Amino acid sequence: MGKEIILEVKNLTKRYGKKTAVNNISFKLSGGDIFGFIGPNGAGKTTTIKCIGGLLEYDGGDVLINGKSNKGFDQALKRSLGYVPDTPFLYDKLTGREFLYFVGRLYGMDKKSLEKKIDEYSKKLEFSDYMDIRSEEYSHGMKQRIIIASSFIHSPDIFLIDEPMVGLDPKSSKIVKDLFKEFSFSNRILFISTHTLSLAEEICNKIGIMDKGNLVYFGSIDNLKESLKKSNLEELFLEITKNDN
Amino acid sequence: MITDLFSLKSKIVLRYLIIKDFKTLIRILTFFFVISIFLFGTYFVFFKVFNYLLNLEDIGKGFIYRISSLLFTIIFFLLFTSSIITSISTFFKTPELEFLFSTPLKTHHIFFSKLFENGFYASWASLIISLPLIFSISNVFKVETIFLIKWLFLFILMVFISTSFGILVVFLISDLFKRFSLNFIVTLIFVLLIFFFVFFFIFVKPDIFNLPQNATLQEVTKYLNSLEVEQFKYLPSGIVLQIIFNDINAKSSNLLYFFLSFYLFLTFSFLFVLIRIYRKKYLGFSLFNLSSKKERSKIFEKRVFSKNLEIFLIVKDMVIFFRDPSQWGQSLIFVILLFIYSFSIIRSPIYFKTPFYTYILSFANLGFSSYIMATLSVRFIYPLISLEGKTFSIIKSSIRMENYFNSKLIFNFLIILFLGEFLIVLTNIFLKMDLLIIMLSSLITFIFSFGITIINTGFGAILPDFNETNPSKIASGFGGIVSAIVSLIYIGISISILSTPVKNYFEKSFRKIPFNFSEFYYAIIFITLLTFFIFVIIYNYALIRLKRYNF
Repeated sequence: MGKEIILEVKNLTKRYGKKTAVNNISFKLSGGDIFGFIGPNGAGKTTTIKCIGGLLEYDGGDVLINGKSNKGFDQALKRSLGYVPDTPFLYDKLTGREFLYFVGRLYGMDKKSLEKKIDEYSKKLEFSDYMDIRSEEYSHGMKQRIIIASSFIHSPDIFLIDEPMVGLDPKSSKIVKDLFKEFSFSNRILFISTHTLSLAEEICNKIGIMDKGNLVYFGSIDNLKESLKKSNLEELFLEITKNDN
Repeated sequence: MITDLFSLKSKIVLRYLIIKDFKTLIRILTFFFVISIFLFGTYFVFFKVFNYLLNLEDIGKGFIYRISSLLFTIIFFLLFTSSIITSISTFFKTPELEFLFSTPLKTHHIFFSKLFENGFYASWASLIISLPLIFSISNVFKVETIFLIKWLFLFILMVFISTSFGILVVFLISDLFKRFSLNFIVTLIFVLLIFFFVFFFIFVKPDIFNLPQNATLQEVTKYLNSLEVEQFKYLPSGIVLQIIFNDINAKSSNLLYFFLSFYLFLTFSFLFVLIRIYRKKYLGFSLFNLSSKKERSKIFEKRVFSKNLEIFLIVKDMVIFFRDPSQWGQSLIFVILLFIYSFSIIRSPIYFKTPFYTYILSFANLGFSSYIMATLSVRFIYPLISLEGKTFSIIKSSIRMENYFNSKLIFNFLIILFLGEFLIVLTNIFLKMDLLIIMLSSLITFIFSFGITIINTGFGAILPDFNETNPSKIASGFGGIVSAIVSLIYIGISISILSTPVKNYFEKSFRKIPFNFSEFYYAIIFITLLTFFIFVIIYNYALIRLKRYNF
């Protein structure tokens, strides 16, 4: 067993002008957790992920990665994170392989291990045949697979993935889901923000439900089902967010 | 890591030049053709004008200096303002930044990469005017190549300083985005610009080229001496130009080098500070993307239930246009430039106000106004159909394509006609042209407006880009370039047809010989037939294409 990985969000608050997007939320995750972050549109999920990823300044509280605050955000902290945004960004004129080489170089990987990882993930995510085609010709699903691979190749401790299933066809969804399932055996944290409740129910051991900037539930799905006497996550979700417009 | 980033960027730029198919080949050839024409054409014009002026005793060199000074000042302000516009996007808004900031790249790596990118985007258009200007000065004064290389280096320093100052402004105002909307800030910048120009033109009253006809010898000498005095001598553009002319006149420029070094020191100093605060500014800047302001357009809601769907579509286009600061902001730049242009003609010097010169000025004004109408059309009319994006399929299923295309055509025509007529009639009245010339110019403008509108609306339908949402990018894409070339060829042919009767009219009126106006009428009939021919071909082809699109 390697070092223990801990992500701690303490009283995180983020405001946009007068609007409070994230209101004093706190939770703690540790290595091996697959965390499903769910909530209606505009609940504050993406804002929270960006605050954790150091892509947004926050107004209050702190985000601790292995006990270290991400406010200064040094390079070592960045290397420990893998981030997949809700809208995939790729350089149109580069091929998938070139983009992965570029990302690998930025994370300081050597050629041999980088090529090995690219080979591994191109097989797992089934994009080997498209690797040498410019990304301007990719479908949304193909772009998403390349972006997910780019966040995995440097083996970060914490994966922050925002809406991984949006726009994916059933085949791409299954490929991505299978990759996530493998993480239940690793000592790393997989943080997934999603609207796909079945995904959260299937692969996550912990969930957090956001509503209007508040974390209204944090814990295991089973505990929640038991306390609200509901049989599936969809019913639970609708019950908790029933006052939402 | 910075080298990885730069090698990646170079690879991306080179990829644009790789010929994959026939369409790419045409696009690249067209691009180089247009740029070469501009470079050589501009060089040729400057060289001819400067060569002619150099042969005018006493006054020639002063005029060359004055023209160069004006152009250098304009280039400086163009670089400065375009840097402000591009750096908002390059340093703060592009989606690439989120990716770069999520990697272990250090902030200064990202900053330098963006500084280089911003300098390139902000200056390439200005270089098309600047390079021929510098080359023509060096050739007219027959200086050694080493001087030319030195001047080009100095010019690059000027580009670096002016674009960096633009970035500084954006960093200074970036905090405003937390408190105010983008609409408010763009409006504020334009109000300040308008104040600046009003102040400059009305109160400062630059007496460029202005010499009274009945001047005394003393006034003439004073005027000649004033030509070579740099009005903007403390701006980087003024310093660089003074060094260039000191080289020509074999004078020392030590003090000027000191001023330039001071500017460089200042630029490096504030860039050093900006690097330090960049990450914080970027992370804070994303706030302006989120606005919860509620908006309801009465005209939109009123028209949505009207029977006339074509008018509703136009209202929809207008509402979108006025809600996008990049759209109305850029159109406002055009309007301000048009006002400056009209104002320059109104204030045109007594020196040029002989009937012969005013006729020439009037014809040049017609050509220039047509060129402006063509440019405006490529930028604002050509992208309209592309901007429908994927919703075009909804429009297609609810309205006949003939009605859709006609409504766009009529609306675009009215806008271009209004601008063109405003420009032509107003300037001709101020030039005190006779009624016949005003009416003829007005008629020609009417025909040109229609021709330009059909070309740009038509190519908007024939070569749309439904995947791009940025109108500037649509206009500078393949279809936009084709549309611009066809518009310029159309204007060029029409002006050539008109030039013969105009030349005869000028010569005969100068010699006070009666002129046969039927020459004008034949020319107008030719232009009308040409426009009609273009209309029939483009209109029909555009409709065929519109009916074929399927998503």
